[in-house]
Amino acid sequence: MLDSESPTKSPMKTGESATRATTRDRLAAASLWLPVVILSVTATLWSRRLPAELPVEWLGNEGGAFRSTAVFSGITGTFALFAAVAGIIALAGVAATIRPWLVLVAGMVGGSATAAWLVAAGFGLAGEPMPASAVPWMVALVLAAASYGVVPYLLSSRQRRVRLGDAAAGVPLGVGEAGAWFTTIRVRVFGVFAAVSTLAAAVIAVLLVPRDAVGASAAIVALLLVAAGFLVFSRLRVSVDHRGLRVVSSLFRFPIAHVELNRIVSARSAELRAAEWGGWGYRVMPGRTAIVVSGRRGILVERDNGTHFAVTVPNPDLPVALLTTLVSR
Amino acid sequence: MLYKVDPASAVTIADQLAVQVRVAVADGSLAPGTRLPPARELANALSINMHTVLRAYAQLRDDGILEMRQGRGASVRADAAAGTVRLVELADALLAEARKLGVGIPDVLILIQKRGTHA
Repeated sequence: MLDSESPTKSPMKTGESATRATTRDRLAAASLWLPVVILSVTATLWSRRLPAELPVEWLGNEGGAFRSTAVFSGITGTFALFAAVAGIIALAGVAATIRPWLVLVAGMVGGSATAAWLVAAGFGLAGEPMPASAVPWMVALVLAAASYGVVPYLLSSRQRRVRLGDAAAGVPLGVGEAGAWFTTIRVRVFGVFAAVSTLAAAVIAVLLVPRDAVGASAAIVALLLVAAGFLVFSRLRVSVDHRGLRVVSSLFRFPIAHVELNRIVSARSAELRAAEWGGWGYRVMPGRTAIVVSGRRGILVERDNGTHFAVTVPNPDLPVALLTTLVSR
Repeated sequence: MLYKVDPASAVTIADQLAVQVRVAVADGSLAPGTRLPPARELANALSINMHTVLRAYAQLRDDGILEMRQGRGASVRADAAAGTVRLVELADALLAEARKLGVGIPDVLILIQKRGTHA
C-alpha cells in the first residue's frame, strides 16, 4: 500500500551481454587507427624533404612555434592518437550506450587532424605559400575530413543497449480503486551551481557593465540562462498515475517530461549509470531519453514505438509496480 | 509515496488519504520536511475533487502532522514524529469510544484534565 509495504523486488540483470563489444565495434575502434597510421607513415617518409616550417596561416595561426613542422606534426598526431585511444575506451562495457557516438566524434577528430597535416605538409613539400584563393577550399577540405567519423559510426553495431531489470509485478489495485505515486527529488548541487552562476552574473554586472566591456551583457544573459537551467532540475517531482509517468520542475511548475500511459508498453526498474546515458541532466540520445539527476537506479519505460524513457528516482520498484498495474488495466 | 483511494469504500476519500499520510509519517516513509504533492496535482492524479484533498490536508494540519504555507503547499511538520502521530491515533480512538458511550467532548476534556492532575 504505502512505500514501506513490500513492492515487488525486481533483481537487476547484469546486462553484460548487452554491453559487450561486438566484432563490428572492434572494427570501428580499429578504423580509428587509420588516421594515426597515415600521419605516422607520411611524417616518416617525408621527414627529410619537409621544410623546418609549414604554411599554417590558413588555419588561423599567425606564426610562432605552431609553424614548426615537428610541433605541427606532433599536435595533429596527438589529436589522432587521442581519437584512436577513445576508440579503445569505447569498447568498455560502461561506454556501451554511447559507443557509436563516441567513435563518431573520435573519427571526426582523427579525420580532421590528419587532413590538416596532409594539407600543410603538401604545401610544405611544394615549397610554396598557399595562395589566398585556396585557403577557403583547404579549410573546407579539413572540415570535410571530419566526415571520416561516419566510418566507425556505421561500423559499430546498432543493437539496443539498455540495461533492463526484470519486469515488475503490479501493485494490487481493486476494481475502481485509483493509485498515484509521487516523489520529489532535490538535487542540491544543481542549486549550488545556479547560485554560483547568478553570483558570477552579478559580479559581471557590477564590475564590467559600467565600463561598457564588450560582451558583458551577453555574458550576464548566458549566465542567468545557465542558472535557470540548473534551477529547473534542482527540484523535480516525479509522478505515476492514470496519466502515465510525469516529471515536473517543482520550482517552476512546468512539465519536463510526460510519457502517456497508453504509450507505455512496459516499465522496469533499471540501473541508470550517467556514463551510459551521456551524463547528468536531461539526456536525449537516439531511441532513448533520460533524466539522470541522482542515484543510480530509476524507472525505465518502453514506449509503443520501441523508444525508451528513463528517470532516476530512489526506490523505483514501487512506481514501476504501479505503472505495471495501470498499463495492464 | 503511494496514494490509493477507493470511492466504493465506506471511509470517506479524505479520510483514506489522511490515514495513508499518517501511516507514512509514522513509519518514516514521509520524513519531516517532505513536501506533499499540490492538492490540484494529487486530485488530478487520483481523479478526485481538489477540495477532497484539501480537506484531508486540513485534517492533517489540525492534527499537527502537516504545515501549510501560502505558495509552498503542504509539507510534513518538522516535529511530526511517530510519537505525535500515535497520540493523534489514540485521541481519535478515545473520541470514537466516547461517542459510542454518549459522552460529549467537554466531558472527555474534563476527564483528561482530572487524570492529568492526578498523574
